[in-house]
Amino acid sequence: MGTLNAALWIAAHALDVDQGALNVTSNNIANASTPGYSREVVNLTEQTPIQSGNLTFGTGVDLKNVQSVRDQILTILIAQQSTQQSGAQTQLNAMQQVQGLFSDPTSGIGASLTAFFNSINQLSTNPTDTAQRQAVITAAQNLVGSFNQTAQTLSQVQSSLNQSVANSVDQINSLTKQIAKLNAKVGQMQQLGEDPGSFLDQENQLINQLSQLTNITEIKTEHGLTLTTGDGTALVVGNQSFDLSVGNGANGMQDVFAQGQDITSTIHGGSLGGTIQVRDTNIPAILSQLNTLAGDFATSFNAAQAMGFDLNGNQGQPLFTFSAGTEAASISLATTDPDAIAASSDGAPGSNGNIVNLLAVQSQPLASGQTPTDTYANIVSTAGNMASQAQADLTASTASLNQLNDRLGSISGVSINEETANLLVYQNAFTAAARVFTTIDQLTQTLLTMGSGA
Amino acid sequence: MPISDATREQTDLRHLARVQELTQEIAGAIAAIEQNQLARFQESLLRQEYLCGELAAMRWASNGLKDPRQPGAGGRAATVAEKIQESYVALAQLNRVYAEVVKRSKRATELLLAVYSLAGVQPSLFDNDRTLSCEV
Repeated sequence: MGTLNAALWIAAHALDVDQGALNVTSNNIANASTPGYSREVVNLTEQTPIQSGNLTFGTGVDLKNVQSVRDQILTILIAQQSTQQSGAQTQLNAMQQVQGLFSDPTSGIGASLTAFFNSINQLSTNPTDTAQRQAVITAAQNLVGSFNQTAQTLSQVQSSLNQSVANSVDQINSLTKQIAKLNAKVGQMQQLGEDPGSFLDQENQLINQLSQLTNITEIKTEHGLTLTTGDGTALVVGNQSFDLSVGNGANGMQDVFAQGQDITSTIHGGSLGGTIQVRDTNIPAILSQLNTLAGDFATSFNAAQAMGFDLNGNQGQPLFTFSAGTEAASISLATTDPDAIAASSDGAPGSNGNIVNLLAVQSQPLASGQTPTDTYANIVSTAGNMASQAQADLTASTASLNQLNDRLGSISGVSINEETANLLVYQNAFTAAARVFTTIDQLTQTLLTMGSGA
Repeated sequence: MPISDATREQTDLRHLARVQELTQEIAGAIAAIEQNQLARFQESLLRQEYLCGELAAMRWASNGLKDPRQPGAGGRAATVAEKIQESYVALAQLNRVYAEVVKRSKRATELLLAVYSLAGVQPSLFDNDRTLSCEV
């Protein structure tokens, strides 16, 4: 076919191919700002040459197919980092609310504790003065009020997180249904030999949204996509989705179930994982410390009361009462009678001999081994550390996510050799960086200890 | 040999400057990783190592740091000591983030390397030599 006709045919065919390539290009341009859109490329194949005697004539190129550019590994890594980022963000939001309860040194439990012991100290100057005694009762009321308020607010945050679990599960179910439908369309197009690019883009977008809700594992086989939860519970298999449900768990909170199994403890990361982490681990840990403080403090102060006598010469009675298990929420005053403060050590109304025992509660270790002030400082520190950790996780996962997105956005035109070489250099640099941050960690530890211990 | 207050103050000021430089370097390194700027990251690493070495050597000189919470630590020296401590707290916090970023990026890099280096297994992007990029 090495004739003019053949040349014209090749040229005409090449125009068709160019037209196809232009269509793809314009589609890429039109979707340049579309979130999740994967750039498409045209795959050209050389047409079968024609043999004529000893000569071989080329017959041009053919548009083999249009293919979306995607890097599956990067896409999976991005989904993983999205899970981390979303989980950290949820934890940070919740922990900032919790931290707010403890951050103001002029109010709350810490300030109320100090004010309470100050009022007892004042009473020592004139133990029969009713106004001074009333001031102690008022300070005690403020203190139990602070405990109650803090415990109540913690429970409210926990309850609000609990309510969002059902909402997240609804969103997960809605997304898995959509992904299963898209999966079916992708399968149909692949069977017809067509590029399911736009459907895959939509699917990736939905998977990304899903990974922001919970940790998922993505497996792609020739039979289609399978999505599972962290523990391997199926969410999507091919064109079929499997709903999660919520139900009451052992702790009275809403747990997540898959096919009758409680999978709450296996959910990590994502906003659902972050919610469960703060609801089931962080807040209970802080509440437990708070309960210990309230209970130990009340027990210790009541014991000091019992060592003295009230204004009427009777043996001191408990000032505080509480219910075991909910100490911070339930602590209250056993009496509001100002005469009940057992200031006297011998039953004489003017004695202030037992005030030293009442004040000692402030400076002596409670049953937990620490003074009330130190115990409270630990609670503040725990809440602060949890918030700081969430902040560090959020910053780190955001940086990693940006890095991966940047890499995904720039994969065109990069040769595999260059990419591999770069990765090797990165790997060495990260190893060096690990040495640096270990050194910095040692330096900061040493210097911070030196400053406080000098 | 006793060290004069003026000498100690100068040493502490130099110490403070180095800690702040290191903090800036770490922030820059995180940004470089985030933006995939390998050369910038490598340069920063060298400066980090240098500054770490300097700070490690300064440890004895800074042994006179006073605890700003202790009484009698007022005045100019206490302020510098306080600033050094504040800078170390900021550095420690940022270092925590740096460690996380490096850890995650290292893991991502190792995974990509494993995939790219496996014989015959290449990302779909690279599997056809005749692919024509139509991106403008």
